[in-house]
Amino acid sequence: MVFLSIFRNASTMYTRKTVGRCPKPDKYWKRSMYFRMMWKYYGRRQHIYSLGARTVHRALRYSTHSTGLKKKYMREMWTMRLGAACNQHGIEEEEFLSSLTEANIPLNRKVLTDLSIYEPRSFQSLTTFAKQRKEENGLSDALKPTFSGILTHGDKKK
Amino acid sequence: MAYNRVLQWSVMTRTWWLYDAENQCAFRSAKKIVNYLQGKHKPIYHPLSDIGDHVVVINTKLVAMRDDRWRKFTYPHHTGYAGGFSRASAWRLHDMDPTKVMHKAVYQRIKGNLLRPNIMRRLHLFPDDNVPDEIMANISDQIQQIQIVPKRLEDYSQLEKENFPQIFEWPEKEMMPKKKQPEVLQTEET
Repeated sequence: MVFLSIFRNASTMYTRKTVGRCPKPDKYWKRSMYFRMMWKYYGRRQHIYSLGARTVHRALRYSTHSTGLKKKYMREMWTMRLGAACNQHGIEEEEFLSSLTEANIPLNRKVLTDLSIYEPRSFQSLTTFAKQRKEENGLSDALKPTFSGILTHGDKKK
Repeated sequence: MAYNRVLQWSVMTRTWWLYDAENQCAFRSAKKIVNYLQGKHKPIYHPLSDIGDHVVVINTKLVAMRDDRWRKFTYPHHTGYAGGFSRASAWRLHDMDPTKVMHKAVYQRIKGNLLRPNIMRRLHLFPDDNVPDEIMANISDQIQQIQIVPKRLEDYSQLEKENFPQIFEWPEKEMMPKKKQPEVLQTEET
C-alpha cells in the first residue's frame, strides 16, 4: 500500500507545533456549515462568521425548544378537531374516547381526526357504535338533556 | 367516482346559522357563536384557514344578564386625551343600541389579531326578528340556545294555574286582596 498523502504533508505535519499530536482540523468545513444557515439573515450577519454564528446558535436553541411546543400544539389541534367532529354527531369527546378504549378499539386522536376529515362515513359508524354502547350500559337516560322547543341538525332525524 | 367519499361541499362552503338570543346570556352565547364564526365547529379547523360560517343573531333586544349585571357591568371607553375616560353601564349601552352588548361580547371573545375584523363581518345582528329576506334566504340551520327560555306567569292559562298542585290552601284572611281588574269589552263573535 502506498500512502501518498502522508508523504505529501510530511513537511507541514511534523513542525514544532504539531509534534506529538494530530494537526488541527480545517476550519473551512465548520465555517461553511454556519454559512449555510446564515444565508437568510440580513446585513453583516449574513457574511461575517462571528456575527452570524451567534444568531445561528440562538436559532438552533429556539428550534430545539419548539419541538416540544409543536407536540403540545398538535395535540391541542387534534382535541379541538375531534371535539368538533364529535359534536356533529351529537356525542361528547370524552364519552366517545372512553367508550372506544373500553371496547378495545385502540385509535388515538390523530387517527380519529384523520378519519373524520377524509372518511366521514367510517367515523360516523364509530360514533354510532359509541352511542349504542352508551345506551346498552343504561346510563344514557339519566344523562339525557331535557331541552325542548328547538330543532337542531342532529335532532331532525329522530 | 373514486373520490366520492371525500366530496364534502357543505364543509367547504360558508353556511348561514340562525341564533335566537331571546332570554339568553350574552356572554355565554357569544362563547358559542364565536366557534361558528371561526369555524371551530368543523373537523378541518385551522387558525389560518378561512373556513368560518355566517351567524345571524335575532332578538338581541331581549338578551339576558345574570343578577344585577345590567346595572353593575360597565363598558369603559377612553378617548386618548387627558380626562377622556368614560364608562357606560350595560343597561345604558343597551338603551342606546340594542345590538351593541351582543356585538361587544362576541368581539371580546375573539383574539385580537388581523383576522378579527373579517370574522366580525360574518356576524349579523338584529334587535328583533325582522330580518331582510336576502339574509333569511341563505339560512340553512339553527344553533341551539344555551339555556331554556323561562315561561312567565302571564303565559300560563287560568286552567293551568288552578290545576297546579298545592299542598294546602291558604285561609282567606291570609291572602292578599285581589285588585279589581278593568272590565274587558266583549265583542260579539260573528
